[in-house]
Amino acid sequence: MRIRPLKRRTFLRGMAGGTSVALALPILEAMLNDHGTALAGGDALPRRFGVWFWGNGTHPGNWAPASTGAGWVPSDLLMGIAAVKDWINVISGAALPVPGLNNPHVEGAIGILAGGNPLLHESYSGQGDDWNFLTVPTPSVDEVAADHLAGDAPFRNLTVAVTPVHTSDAGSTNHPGTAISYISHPAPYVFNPPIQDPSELFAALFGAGIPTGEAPPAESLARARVLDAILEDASTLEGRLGASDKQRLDQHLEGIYQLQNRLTAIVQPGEACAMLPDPGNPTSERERAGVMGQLIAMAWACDLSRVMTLEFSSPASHVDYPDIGIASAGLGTSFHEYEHQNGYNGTVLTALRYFVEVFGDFVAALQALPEGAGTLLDNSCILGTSDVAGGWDHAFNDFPLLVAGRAGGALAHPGVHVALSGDSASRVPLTCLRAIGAPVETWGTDQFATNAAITEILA
Amino acid sequence: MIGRRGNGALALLGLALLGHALAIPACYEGASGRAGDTATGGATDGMSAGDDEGDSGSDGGEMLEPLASGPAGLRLLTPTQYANSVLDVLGDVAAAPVGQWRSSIAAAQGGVSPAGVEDYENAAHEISAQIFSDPVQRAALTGCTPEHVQGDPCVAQVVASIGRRAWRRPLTDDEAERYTTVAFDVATMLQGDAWLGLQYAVAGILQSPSFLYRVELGTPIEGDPDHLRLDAYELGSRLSYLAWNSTPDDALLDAAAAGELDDPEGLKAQIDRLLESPRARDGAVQVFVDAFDLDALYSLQKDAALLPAFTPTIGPAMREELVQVIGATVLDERDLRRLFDTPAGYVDAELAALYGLPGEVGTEPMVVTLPETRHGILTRAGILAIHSGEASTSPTKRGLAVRRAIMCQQIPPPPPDVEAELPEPTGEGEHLTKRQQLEMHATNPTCAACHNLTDPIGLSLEHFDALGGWRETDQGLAIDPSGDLDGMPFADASELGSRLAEHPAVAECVIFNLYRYAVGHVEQPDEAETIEMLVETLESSDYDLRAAIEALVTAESFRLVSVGGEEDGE
Repeated sequence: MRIRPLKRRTFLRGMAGGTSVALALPILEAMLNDHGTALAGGDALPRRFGVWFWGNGTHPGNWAPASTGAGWVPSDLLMGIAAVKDWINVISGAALPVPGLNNPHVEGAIGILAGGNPLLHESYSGQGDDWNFLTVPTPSVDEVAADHLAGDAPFRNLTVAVTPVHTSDAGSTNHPGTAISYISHPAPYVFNPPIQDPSELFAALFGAGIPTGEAPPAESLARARVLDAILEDASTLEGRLGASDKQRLDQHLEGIYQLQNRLTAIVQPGEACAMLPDPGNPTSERERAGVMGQLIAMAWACDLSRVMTLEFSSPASHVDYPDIGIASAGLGTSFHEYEHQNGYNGTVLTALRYFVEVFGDFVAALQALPEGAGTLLDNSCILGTSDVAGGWDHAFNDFPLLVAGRAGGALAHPGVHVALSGDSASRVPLTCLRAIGAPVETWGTDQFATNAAITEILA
Repeated sequence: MIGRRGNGALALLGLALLGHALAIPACYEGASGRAGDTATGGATDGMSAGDDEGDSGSDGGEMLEPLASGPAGLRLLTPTQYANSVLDVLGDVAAAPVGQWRSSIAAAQGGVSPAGVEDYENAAHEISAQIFSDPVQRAALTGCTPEHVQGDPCVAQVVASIGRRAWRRPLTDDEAERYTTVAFDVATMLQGDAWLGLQYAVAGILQSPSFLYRVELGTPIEGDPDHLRLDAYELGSRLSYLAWNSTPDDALLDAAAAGELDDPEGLKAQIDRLLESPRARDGAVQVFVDAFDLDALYSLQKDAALLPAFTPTIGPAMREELVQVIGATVLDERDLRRLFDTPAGYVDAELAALYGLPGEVGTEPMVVTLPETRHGILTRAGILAIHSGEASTSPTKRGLAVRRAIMCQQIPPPPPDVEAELPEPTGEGEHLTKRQQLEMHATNPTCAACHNLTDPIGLSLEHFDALGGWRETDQGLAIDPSGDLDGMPFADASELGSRLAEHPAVAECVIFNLYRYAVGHVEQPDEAETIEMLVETLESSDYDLRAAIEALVTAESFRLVSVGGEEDGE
């Protein structure tokens, strides 16, 4: 749990004889954080981390390139990243050690993204469809990365979804077991709800223009001042709470700190930072993913954020993919069900290729923005992965794992194919965390725990 | 409180405790190898052994004394409670529901994400600005005019009075000063007047944990290290959210301040007052909104190509019908059994069209009498539509919903390697009714153990499509709505309703749902006596929910919470 000490703002409480005391501008400046000065001071460019997730895996045993090492040639399923292959490491042959006790899609998503076994609150034990109630045991990898990278960035972890997020079978969204639906989790039973409309993402990031390095408006500072009082209220209450409620309240306060950060941040934009047009909300999902990816890339270039989580589809892929003609109207069912019924036929393989293509679009968007001597991609580590190795039979061997970017040089050998033989897939999230400089000794819990990064790609 | 999957052992507790429920052991034996099933298996034993014990009450001697109604803690406001509370604190403002966890149980455990914090912050500022930027509204709310940004008694008075209503208790001196200082600081920063400062201070009060959470921490009881007694304000909040699903009014806060809630007479007077109010409908109906998750109807999604009657507004209309019908049967007729055979409907033009009603219904919904095929809530579109696919019905889901929400029985999920989806209709190939498609459920012993509990109920509702509209046939084939509820045969959905109205599990289940809504957690072993008392009250009052609510709030256990529940080291 990330809990910072209360920030005591330097506020002048002028109570002299009932008359108001004018607060001069220097006081306001004293309230501001120093976000952005790292760049001005000539320090290293920030690293960025992203999770790019799709549901229902790939075709295990049939997706990896034929040769290992550098110069790999894309398999049919990986053709979508051919143009950026020199910045992508393919890790094949890894296995995800799920317990096999519950819904495989939930177990897989929690296993790869949070490195642990599902957690179920005792109140939900024995409920029908209890897989709807499962949550992560510990924060997901994007949140761990954000602990290290986000600093005072106004958007700690940009979380977006492209296709409709999974809703529970019971027609209910009234369950806190969110791992079947959501992929970014700061804590058990807490998730970052994804923005699903590109226009809304645009408004949040650039509605007030691009960052200028100027002080925020006084209204924002006033709102931040109000949050100080909330934090004081909470500290009074916290002393009276038991352990689990204290943890809940701490999580709540984390959100208040983040909001205060956003309200008071002075952001020094990077060199490629420029205004983008409002993209609207394209009906094509590939296009929607594309414009969201561009907005995220630009937010990174502008240093509004350094971490992102993109859920192209929820675990299990219980959706249509109309872009490629996979829709209920034609197939009579969702892609999930279609794959179960048909196996890896031509239509399913088209979808599996398509997921990689859309991932490739995001990698290309990062590469399109110059930064320092290279591009944004050179300072990023993007983990592309899924909930299962194969959706047809819920396979967990040969798990799909793509690592894009150079992470500021930490991923010293981009563009190689590393073939593992049944090693834990947890090694890859660990590698990403090390690549972005997070001081992580061990990643994962229980049978997911590992301290062995993929040394073939790490400096 | 959070344990690894399978460690919790309280599943089916209610059934095991009371012993009225039917023994359905085959279902639980059928699903093996799942960690969670140890709990259900144990409970099955409890059920079969419970038939005698439950009636004689002979197991009461082992119960802990005094009984508590759950662990001490924080209960987040549900979105509905948030909106209701804002309205009650500030008067006539536009307040949208804010929050993530809809049911009382979920809100007692759920956290607030960073995005949730933003939602609360935005809402608080919008709401407060509505009031304080309008000279008429702010004067009506505050009854005074602040002249100075600093040291003005009006500012202090407004902080104290709004604070007390919002936080359901008086503010401490520190708290009051904290928010008058916010008002001063902000007025200064923005070079505005005292009203502007108050606007921000009130926006703060509405974001405080003291507003967003119902604090039920209690105070120590001498000589009883296991329990804590809710203080008068905490108890007042419990009463108010139970009866009205909202924050206490001034009269209730005054009663708490005067110590009137400390003795049973005063408590009885207050709960009677609350239940006499028309607002009691909000509380009683919420028991069922929680249990049936009727708020899911706000975002109902159907395949409009296959179900042309679907529109984005029809789901909310369905919800409103159920709310009105539940309110009328439970509070006006004061007989829960009428839920299952009431002919009363509440329809707008869209819903009237879906129900095939003759005559004119305008955009304003109205009370109507429905044909016999629609008697009881089971045959209302809202219930039918939530428990269906986007295009196609699901007898299993519908049956499961009845077992779970109406009978409080737990049916384990299918084994993890089973695909639980039937293909949606394509309009091509061989046509089968749902009964034919589900034939395997009835014949394969692994499936049948559980599906024989769910599918016959759901198949009786096959005359209603995935949106709840009537259909004579399923893909041109005749529909057989007959079935069997735990050995009691029924000819159609209407008879199923009659069977349910008389089923002992149904009355018990209402009590479980009432209790969970009131205290925010699933009942624990030491609460069995309270539950049993409530069931008896309900039965002896001819199924008057109000009698059960009165009995609940005047029970000693309602005023206590238990220490502990903090063993989690996660």
